[in-house]
Amino acid sequence: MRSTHPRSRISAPFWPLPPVFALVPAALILALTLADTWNQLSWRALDWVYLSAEVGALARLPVVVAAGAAALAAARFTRPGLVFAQRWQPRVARDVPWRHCAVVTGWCLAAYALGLLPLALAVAAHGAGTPDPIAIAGALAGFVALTLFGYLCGVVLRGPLAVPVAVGLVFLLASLPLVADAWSALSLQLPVSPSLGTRESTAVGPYRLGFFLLLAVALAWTVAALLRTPRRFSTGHGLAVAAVAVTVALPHLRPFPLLAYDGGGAEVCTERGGVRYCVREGHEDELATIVGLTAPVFDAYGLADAAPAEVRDLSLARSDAEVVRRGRQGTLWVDIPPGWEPEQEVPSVAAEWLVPDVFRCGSGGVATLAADAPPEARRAAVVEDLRAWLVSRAHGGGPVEDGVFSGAAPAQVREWIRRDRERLAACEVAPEDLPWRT
Amino acid sequence: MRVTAEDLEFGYRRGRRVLDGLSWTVEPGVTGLLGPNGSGKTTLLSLLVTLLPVRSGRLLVGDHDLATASGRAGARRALGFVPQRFSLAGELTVADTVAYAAWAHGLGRRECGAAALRALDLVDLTDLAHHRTRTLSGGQRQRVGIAAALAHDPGVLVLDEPTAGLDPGQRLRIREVVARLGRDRTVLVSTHLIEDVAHLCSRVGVLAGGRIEFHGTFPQLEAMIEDGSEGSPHGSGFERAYDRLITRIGERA
Repeated sequence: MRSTHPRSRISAPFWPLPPVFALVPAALILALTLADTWNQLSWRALDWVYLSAEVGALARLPVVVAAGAAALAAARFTRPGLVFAQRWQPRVARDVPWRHCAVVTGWCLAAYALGLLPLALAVAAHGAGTPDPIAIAGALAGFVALTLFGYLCGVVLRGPLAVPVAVGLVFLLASLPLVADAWSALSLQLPVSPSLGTRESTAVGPYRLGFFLLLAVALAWTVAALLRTPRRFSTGHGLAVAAVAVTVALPHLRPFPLLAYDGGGAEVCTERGGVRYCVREGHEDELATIVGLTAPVFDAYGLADAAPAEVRDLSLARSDAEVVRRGRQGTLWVDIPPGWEPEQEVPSVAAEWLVPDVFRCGSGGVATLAADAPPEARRAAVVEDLRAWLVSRAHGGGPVEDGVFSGAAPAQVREWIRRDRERLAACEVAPEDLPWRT
Repeated sequence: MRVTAEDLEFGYRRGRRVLDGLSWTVEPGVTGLLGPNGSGKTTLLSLLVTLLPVRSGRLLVGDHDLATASGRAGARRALGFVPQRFSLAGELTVADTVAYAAWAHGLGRRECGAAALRALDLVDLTDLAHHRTRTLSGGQRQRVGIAAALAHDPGVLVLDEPTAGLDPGQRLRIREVVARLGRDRTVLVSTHLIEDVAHLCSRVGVLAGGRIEFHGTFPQLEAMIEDGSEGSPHGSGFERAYDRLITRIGERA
């Protein structure tokens, strides 16, 4: 016997697959995840609730890659004609698929986690709130289950069609919540990711986790049954498949609420110009910004009693009823979602509070200064331009060059608002009525 | 390790009985299994490698009774099987293919490299260990298949038409390998080629009508072949005589 040892080129982390079957999809997933999250690293107001939900939402494409890789591994290495995939070989029905899936899923999940790491570090450095372990576990279980689904496609089809079919089906499954809310409990993500102040409803997170675990068990059982000789479908397997079917049907019969308020949290407040400003603990970095972008708008409007009594962070809300009630009592709610851009959003919200909606003008939303336009549309233009002018006050208040407020001095505008307050509220001011245009 | 069939019966659904009270013992060494098409050779091999369930009669691989789940599990570890048609994953090397097969047969991952070395040495393929299987010739592929079946060191090796489709040189190499393997294990070779039996097998069984109608040494079989058969442009006199013998045994059954 020769003494040279033909060492296997397949090392333990890949065994028994050639490394390329794990490394290529892992590299692709890493690149996809980094590309998807890179711009978020500089986002304002990141928080753990959002990141926990994004673990599922951002997995939409990576899981498609993982499922395709699993389908390819199954199609290439479980064909019955292969010398090492004979049905009577002891490991073929259980250990082989288990190991294939462990290698593909392990590498793909590790790459995905690595891709999420910079975002997680950014959230850890600046983010508010706490992680939602159920949402994260549900997303990871979904990743595993959908990868297993890809593997099943490979076992069933065992040919070149396996990969495109797996990729297509998993993409479809991962996209279903974008079609109908009922699928949200059965997919990786909600139609809208929650952020600080909200969370997945009590039912959705555990339901999704349970569904994906059940699906993974049923898929693993099905793969083993298909690879076993003679093919045998046990009672337990049948029950698992039936349980998956029931679990899929339930959210359609009785839809879950998807999001819930998280019950509020500690608030950080300040006051300026008679307006109280409150944000949730964790958003305190945004408090000065909110004050700096709203107070000039209120000042420019000039009527202290028109300003809200309070500007309040929406993540402090405990219920829809509270939002409505406080809104009636003079609270202006400001949403601070991850990635928000306050420079335009916040002054606009403040201006909307002060100035009536253009639809009140009766022009059907049309606003124009054209001389031959209906009077309602011309009055709507006054309202719209006033909003724009107020928003511009938040950014230093330079002269407005366009619209009916071009050339107007702030004091003139304030005086006009004071004088024509009621006509303005009823949208009865025509461009010709503005004092600096006469 | 011997293979024993006792009163073995098997029929496919709505079909005739393919094996009908087959009793036979395959002893260590190389044994040939001959028989006309449709005689039940493939069914017998499928039962032996547990691809089909034993429903009537007994089939033992060593002490493993294939009618029981534990017996089938034991037999799967004790058997190596090279089907007539098999494929290789072209992206794997020869060593990886054999190591993978060893693992699929139940060996631990750490043992597979050494097991592959032993098996490749038995089939004279060590030099090609790091070649990808897509680069191999037909005979080399057949030897990879045999190495894969040997990697877990089975006591019984079953080969289905191991030399089919090979050129004479490759056929010779396979026969040399199989003859060597038969020295310390039980090798059952199912074949249509009388030359394979003549050069390889210490014993021969002829399956016809669902039973073993002849069991003995090749010289005994040879003695039954009619003398004076004349050759033709399409085959030797020996081949024609063999063909008549197989037919006669089949008719007798």
